[in-house]
Amino acid sequence: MKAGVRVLAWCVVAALAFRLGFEAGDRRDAIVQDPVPVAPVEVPRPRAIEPAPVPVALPDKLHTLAGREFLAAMPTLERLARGGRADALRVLFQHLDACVDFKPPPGDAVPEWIDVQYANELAIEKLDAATCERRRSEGQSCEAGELREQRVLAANQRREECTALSAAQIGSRIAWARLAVDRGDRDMVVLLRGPNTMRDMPRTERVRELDALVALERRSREEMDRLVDAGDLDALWSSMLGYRSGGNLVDQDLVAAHAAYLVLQRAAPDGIHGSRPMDSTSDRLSAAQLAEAQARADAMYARCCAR
Amino acid sequence: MRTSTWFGLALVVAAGASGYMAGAPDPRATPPVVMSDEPGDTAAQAALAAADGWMRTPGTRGTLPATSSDPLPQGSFGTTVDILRERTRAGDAAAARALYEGLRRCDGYEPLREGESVEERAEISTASGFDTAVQIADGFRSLLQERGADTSIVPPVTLEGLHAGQLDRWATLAADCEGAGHVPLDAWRDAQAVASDLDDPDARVSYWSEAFQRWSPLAEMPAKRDRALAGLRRALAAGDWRALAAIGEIHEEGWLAPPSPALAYAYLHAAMLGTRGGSSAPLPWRTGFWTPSADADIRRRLRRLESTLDPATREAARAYGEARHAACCAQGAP
Repeated sequence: MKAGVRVLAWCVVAALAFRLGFEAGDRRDAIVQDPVPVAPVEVPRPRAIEPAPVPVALPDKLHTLAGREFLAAMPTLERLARGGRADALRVLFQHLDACVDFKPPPGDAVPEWIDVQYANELAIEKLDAATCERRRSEGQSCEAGELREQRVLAANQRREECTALSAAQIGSRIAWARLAVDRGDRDMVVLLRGPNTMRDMPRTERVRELDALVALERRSREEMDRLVDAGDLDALWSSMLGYRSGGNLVDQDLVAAHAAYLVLQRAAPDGIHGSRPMDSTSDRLSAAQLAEAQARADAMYARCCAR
Repeated sequence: MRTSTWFGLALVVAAGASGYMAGAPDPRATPPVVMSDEPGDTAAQAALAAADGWMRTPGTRGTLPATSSDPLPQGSFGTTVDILRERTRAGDAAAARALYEGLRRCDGYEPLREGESVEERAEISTASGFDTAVQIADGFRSLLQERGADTSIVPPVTLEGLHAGQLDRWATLAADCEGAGHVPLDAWRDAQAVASDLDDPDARVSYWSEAFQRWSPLAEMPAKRDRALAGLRRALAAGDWRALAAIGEIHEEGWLAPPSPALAYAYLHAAMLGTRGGSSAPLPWRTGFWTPSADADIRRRLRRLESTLDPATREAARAYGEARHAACCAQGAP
């Protein structure tokens, strides 16, 4: 009897051991399971490449940063941008925007690619003396070989930047632009509402970031109206071009473009920076639209320039 | 120690070890598929659910739209377009669908000028299109040649052959579209949106594709997006598995959130369950030259996504997809 109880006790203990062993093995299954990589749904907050940015000495002119120098300076630029420094915000936005939909030429094919892309520009010997003089005054070369080298260098630098930046970093440019507009950065407003800004934005991103873009368009329009009302004709010029071409942020609006043209014609009859606005819209508008543009122009002129 | 004690201890150790082995996963075996009615059973599924905006979509079954009691008018699109427009304005989903399909067929059709015959129109388009047709055929041949495939499957382009094709095309278009020249024939996308609003089953699962992929001014985009998503939500609520395929594509391409292969796989797997392996019709938003059956289409996408997912993620996505299918469409496709 006593032996039977002992055997029974050992069996109970063995059963318990089996159960404990089973649970331990089962837990191992849960531990080894890989987490599911899930893409973030929210727009990522602008962030640095490195978690703890080491301050980098920046040049006085931030727009001269390029390639590896730009990448190394990016954490510092982001810190400055968060602090509201307008030129850092603009440089970040422009570099990130230039990498949207970037398709790099094969590494050893850059010079050939440059020859094709910039064929007209490299035919520099065709430039007249006045154009060469202007180019030199702007720090640009007027010698084909030198210009080609500059272009190859710039293409390589752009490739360095664009292949190093993540999709989230490039996507964050909309948030940087919004920050700059909210801080009332005139140059960013002019840039955003001018022609060609964000022209390479993929359709998927335009739908995905629709609410942010609609808000950015509205805020930048308010700021542009404020600039124009204060008499900033440079900004109005850029706005006219933006409305003429239309783009991913600013919708084409030929009535608004024509109204801007009418105001510029009246407020700056000698032109701006030596250029006179050209009427390229009136023949595409109906009589009613022309009248609407005139009424808008009169009201705008009264606000911005009559005094 | 007595022999029986040693025996007892050995029994305990052996039992513990065999229990451990029984509980541990067999590395050769496929991990078990977690079946559930609601997602969130595992951490992986919970993560998928958290990232999935469509979880906010009501999962209850809706009702399919009532079919119009009046039959559609008989005749070509050109002779029925005004009736279809009138009935669409009155809220007839079937008429709205016939209207957008007709507009789509006739998009690009220019009515014959007075005295112009179909033969003359075919001659003009043959003359203007011959060089392009030759270039396209040459392009196909060199593509096939590069891949070492048989180039003889591309038929030679001859003036006679092209003319016969153009004659057939213009005769069909003229028979269908003549008489509809007073309506904007390129406005079929707007008509599709109206049909979607009226709950036409094909339009409400298709409109997202046009609304997202076609460039529109920014000011028009929010309304188009919201209209497209509302259509998909109604399709889901009505148990239409094709909406799951649409959401899979939306996740794959990243239209509403950054691309997520796991969620794309989950929804396409859910749609695959909906086809029950036998849907020969193409997905209704698929246009162009290549319109495979929904079945083949979804399988191809699943294969492509499969290679980007590790096995554990794939299994979690599959289980999540099963839950999505169960919540939407398990009671039968429309």
